Amino acid sequence: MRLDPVLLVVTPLISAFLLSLVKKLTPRLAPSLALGLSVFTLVLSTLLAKEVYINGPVASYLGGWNPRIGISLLADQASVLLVLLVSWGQTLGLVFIASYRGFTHWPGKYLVFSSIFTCSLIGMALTADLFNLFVFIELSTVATIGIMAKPDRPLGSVAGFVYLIVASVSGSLLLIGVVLVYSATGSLSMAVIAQEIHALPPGLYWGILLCFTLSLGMKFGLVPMHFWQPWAYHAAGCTGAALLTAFGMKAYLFAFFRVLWVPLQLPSMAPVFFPVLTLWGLANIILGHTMGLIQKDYKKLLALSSTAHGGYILVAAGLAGSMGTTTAGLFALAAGFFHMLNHSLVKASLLWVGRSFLKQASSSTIDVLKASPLGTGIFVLAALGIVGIPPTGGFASKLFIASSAGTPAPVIIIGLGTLISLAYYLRIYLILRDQTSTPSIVKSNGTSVRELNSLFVPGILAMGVLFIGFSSSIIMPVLLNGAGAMMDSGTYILHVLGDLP
Amino acid sequence: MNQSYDTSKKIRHLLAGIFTLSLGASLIWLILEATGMPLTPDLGYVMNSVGDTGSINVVTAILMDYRGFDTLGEASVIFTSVAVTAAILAEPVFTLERPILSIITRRAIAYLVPVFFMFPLYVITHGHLSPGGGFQGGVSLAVLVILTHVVFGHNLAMKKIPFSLLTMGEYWAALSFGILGLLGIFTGVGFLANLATGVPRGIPGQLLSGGLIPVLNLIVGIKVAAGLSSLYITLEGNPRRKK
Repeated sequence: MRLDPVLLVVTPLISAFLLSLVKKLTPRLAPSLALGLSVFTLVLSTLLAKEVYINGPVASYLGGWNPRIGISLLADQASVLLVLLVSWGQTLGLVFIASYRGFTHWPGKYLVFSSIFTCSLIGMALTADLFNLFVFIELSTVATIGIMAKPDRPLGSVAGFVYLIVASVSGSLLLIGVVLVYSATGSLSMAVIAQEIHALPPGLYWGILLCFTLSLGMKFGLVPMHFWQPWAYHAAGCTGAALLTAFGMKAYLFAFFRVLWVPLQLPSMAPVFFPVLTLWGLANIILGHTMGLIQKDYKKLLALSSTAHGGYILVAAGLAGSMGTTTAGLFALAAGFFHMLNHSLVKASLLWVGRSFLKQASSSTIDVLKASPLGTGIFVLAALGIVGIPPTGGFASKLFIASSAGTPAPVIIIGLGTLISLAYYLRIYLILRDQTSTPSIVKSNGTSVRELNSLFVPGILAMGVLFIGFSSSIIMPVLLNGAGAMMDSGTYILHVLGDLP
Repeated sequence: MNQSYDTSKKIRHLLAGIFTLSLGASLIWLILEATGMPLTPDLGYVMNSVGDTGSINVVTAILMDYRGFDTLGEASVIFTSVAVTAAILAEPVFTLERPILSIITRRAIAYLVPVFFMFPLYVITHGHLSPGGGFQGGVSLAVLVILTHVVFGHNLAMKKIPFSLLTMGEYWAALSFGILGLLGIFTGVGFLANLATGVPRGIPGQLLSGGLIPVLNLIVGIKVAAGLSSLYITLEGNPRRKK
């Protein structure tokens, strides 16, 4: 019997319920239990990825119903990559917190929210049903507010409220899109919609396309709808912000690509939209980087950098769509996936190592940040990765994306963006170098030991950036497979509808 | 200066108005376009739901069986919202320590509460037979909890319905929803499967029918009732924690 993909959604969800209960009854047990359950999810996702890459995609039919009347999930070569990324993200996040807080008592409900967040992201990756996608996006919205808002940080509640308003508009647009699709095609299953959507009149089709683009664009920070991100990441704290940008943003981008390629059938219905996406991505790069250049706050700067990097991924997808399922097209989308992986590693590393800078400076203003020599080292490595200096993964991914572009304009803009980001990361480095905090002797309460421990996870992630840079020739074939699964809607439809009468 | 400020404000309002109106107009046009498409034939919800699920209420059949996974998701949204609200609102907002309504109202409500209680109970347990179900019944139950708070004040209401009972009820209900879904995985049918797992269908139209649907209705009822009433209590705040 093959591993049912729904288990990947259900495990973190039941974990969240279980953790709320355990937190009430025996709070000390909760952190270790959370880590155990998260590792279990990670093992399941590894098994699922192995199964999919060896024996092909696995579909799951909820309640055993035909996908035409019920809900179905599909784990294919593309979605398992995201599932793996998200489950690694959750586990590393917990290990990171444990590294400075130990396993005794974690205040707040971070455990519950991170579990729910993981569940929703995995659900967004796996679902083959448009309304189910909406449900998971709602779930991730609420969990995001939980991660960013804390009672001791009033700014967190404000950012949470701003996000709630943005998310309500985004959710309404998405729901309108789903309702329009449903009333026009009579189905919610992405595979069935993909077969029926060709009958839609162009006006209606473009309206639906716009609803989905604006709605998901608000979530992953399509300019000018990225304004909430700096505030949200500023409020969230470094640990939570890393979850939101390094993993959450990728899931929204992934869901957006899936919606474009499968139910909306963009390559055949409106191929002209792909160059628009490329241009929009380029605007993201320029605006994100230039706004980052003048930013004085560490976390807000990283948030704007995320906006720019979302742009790189969007450019890759736009180029891939324009070229279609050719070798060059697949390569472009795989390059985008590679950039996702690279950005997840570096952004999590930068935010988590940043936590110790912020802690030592008691502020997040760049000019006063303080770092230990080891912290500075990790920062430099991660910054090299995000700017894209060889031999890091960032260099490889930007090179791949730029080489996919047939025209010089995207290459120039990617180069320009790289230069701007080099400028602002160099500025932070110079400040950190001058304000090195002396590594203090171990205090009796062990605080500095904990601060040192907290550098472990970001250090590993920064090394990972080097590693993926060197092994890009091993990773790219896997990502090419994923890109193939994403762009080939025919196979997707076959796997969702094929197994059942 | 004031005048130019007023003019720019007027222009902004005008632009916002035009934008909103044109957005609304295009939405209406889109909806008309979409509903103007030829209707797809019924997928089988109306024709087959009684046979498929054992529930004579088609809406409940869709909510709790065909698309039960979405219901689990939506219930989790409520669950998370309650947790988020509790996490943000550590400080009380409104408090009614002592009853503010007159003794006549309080006595009258005290006699009526058991009668009021029957309605949500009926809605929850008969969700598969008549309009209603776990969500609707759960909301009505939560209204009852809110009513006791408003009429008898926070202190007495908390004594009668302890907060820990509500949170525990919510957590256990959520957990059992998930675990009940796993039954389908163990029997090899699929998560949240109903009749296909082998549970008896019963005679459609009777109270004990519809396989797992009544059980799910009960669980969702408890979860929604506990969740929404603890949401109210968190918003109302606990006077003992008042600064």
